[in-house]
Formats: sequence, C-alpha cells, structure tokens
Amino acid sequence: MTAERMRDARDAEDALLLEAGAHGRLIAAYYDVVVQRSLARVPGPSGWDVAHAAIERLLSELQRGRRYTVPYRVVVHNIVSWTIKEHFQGLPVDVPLPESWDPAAPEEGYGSVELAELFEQLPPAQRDACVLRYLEGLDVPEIAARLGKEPNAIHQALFNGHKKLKELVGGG
Amino acid sequence: MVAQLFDDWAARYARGERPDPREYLERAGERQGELAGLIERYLVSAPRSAPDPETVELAEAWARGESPLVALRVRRGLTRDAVLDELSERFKLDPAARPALRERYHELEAGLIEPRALSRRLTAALADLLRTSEDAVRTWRPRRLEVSPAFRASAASQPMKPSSPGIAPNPDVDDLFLSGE
Repeated sequence: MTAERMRDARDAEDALLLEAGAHGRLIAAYYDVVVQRSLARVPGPSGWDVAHAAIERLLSELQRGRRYTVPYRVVVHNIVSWTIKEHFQGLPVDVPLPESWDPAAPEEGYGSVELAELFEQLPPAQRDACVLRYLEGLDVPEIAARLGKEPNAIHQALFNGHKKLKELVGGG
Repeated sequence: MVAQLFDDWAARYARGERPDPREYLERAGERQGELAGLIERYLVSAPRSAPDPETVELAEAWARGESPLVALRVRRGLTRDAVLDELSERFKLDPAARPALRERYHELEAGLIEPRALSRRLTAALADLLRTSEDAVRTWRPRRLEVSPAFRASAASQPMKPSSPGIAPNPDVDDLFLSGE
C-alpha cells in the first residue's frame, strides 16, 4: 500500500470510529503521535503533562460531538499544537479548549502537507527509498535489496529526502 | 549529525518502536531545535500506525473514567498486594514501610499522585511489572472529571501526605513516589 493510500485508509477508519462514537479507540490511534510530539517539543517532565493534557482535550472535544470538515488527524494535530503553544505561554492546559475554538482551522500548516506528497517531489528511485525507510522502517541493505540498488545509492536518496524535509521545516 | 539522528529515530518509529525523542534531542546538542522540528514534521505528516491492542484497552478504560494502572494490573492478573510484594522486594523496603507503600500505591492508582513525581526507578519497575512501557505509566493518568481545574493545579503543586489517618510517612517510600528523580 502506498503512503497516500495508507493515509486515506486511516482517514476513512477514523471517520467510521467518529461515527460510531468509539472515543477510546480514536484516542488509542493517536496516543503515540501525541506523546512523541509533546516530548519532542516540551523538555523535562512537563512533556508528560502536556501529552496528558492534549489527550484529555482530545477526549473532551470528542465528547462535544462536533462534526469536522477536515480529517480527524488534522483536528488531533491542531489540538496538540494548541496545547504545546499554551504551555509555553504559561496558560493552564489541563482545561478543555474553549467552545469557540475551531478544531478544523489550519494551525501553522500542520496536516496540510503529507510526507508522501513531500517525497513526490523526488525522482522515483529516491522517493521509493524514502518511503521504505521513513514509512516502513527498513534498513538500508533491505531497501537496496528491495529496489535492486547499491547501498550507496540508497544513502544518497535518503540524504535528498532529508534535505526536502528540512526545507519544509525551515519554511513551515 | 542531525540528519543521522533523525534518520535513526524515524526508521525506528516506522518499525513500530517508540524511541524517546528526548534522548535524540540531547545528542543533537545545540541543534536540538532543528531536530525537534524534523521529528514533529514527520509525526504530523506520516500516516498514523495502527494502535496495539494494549493501547486500545488502556484508552478505552481511561475514556470510561477507569484507572489505567488498575486496568493494566488486572490485565496481568496481579492483585494490589502482589504488586506491593514485588516493589518491597525490588527496593528492599523495610516491612514497617508496608502501610505507607500501600497508601502511596493506592494514591497512584487513584490518580492522586502526579506521575511526574514518580522516581525513574519506580516508573521502570512498574513498567516491568505491568509489562508495559514507561510512557504508559507516565501518561495514562486517571481522569478527574469531578475535580475543578483550580483544585488540580493546587493539588499538583503541593507535596502530598498519606491521606489515611494513622499511617506515618516513610522516607524510602516517598523517595520512590514523590521525588521525581
């Protein structure tokens, strides 16, 4: 399955879970992402507090029963971004988001650019190497064997993919 | 160096491991902001993975308002006394410390102790005992739906005492549960 199809499949799965009111399952689906983002951005033990606060907010948002015009993943990332931002502003994060907050609003472009789209800008051989490395977690020798390339070529492809990602972060 | 650190972190994450980003950021030194940006961008743009059954079970218990630590313990078929026995042995606690240990562990399961206050060695021991990750021990806190935010902020900022009358605090137990180190 390509990364794009995988993303679409996850979005469809999220929509079904939302419809079914399966809040616990939705929280579970994004738990790792929330924790890793919080720990990457917030140093020290506060990272755990921010992660927990974001998870609490995800649930309180779900319990409001809103219907979203964007995929649920965008809502998740907006809530995490908002919680991290409030933490650094010294605001309390262990409270629900205000009713007036729009969970579907674009937040610093998050959710608007997919990794797969980013790699689309690379030549096919480099794109394939990046997808296998960064979306499937294969080692360089495994990727080389899968694509019938030399390991050095794979290293170069990954270097280019990393550069693209860095450009995006710099411009984001 | 940042490229190598990111490459390693992202590949491990994609394989379903959960590498602690803070360990990578520490190794990035002055360029940790750059690495944090890459990690965050990756997390935002990569398709999410399917959650494992344990995470689903924990999240569902938590969403229902149950204590995740109790859910984990029950899942492992452990009584609270069995956990206390194990902790007493691992940390060579004096038998006289048992009532204080019981009280603190009860407080932890009930969400009355902030997981950030736990010592690292206790977090590691609980993760091992409950066969889960340290992440799970630290993030899955019971919800306190009935408690106002003001109370939560106040409770989190004050040192705790055993709530049951007649139970003397024990410094070894408090070092495990409240030192944060």
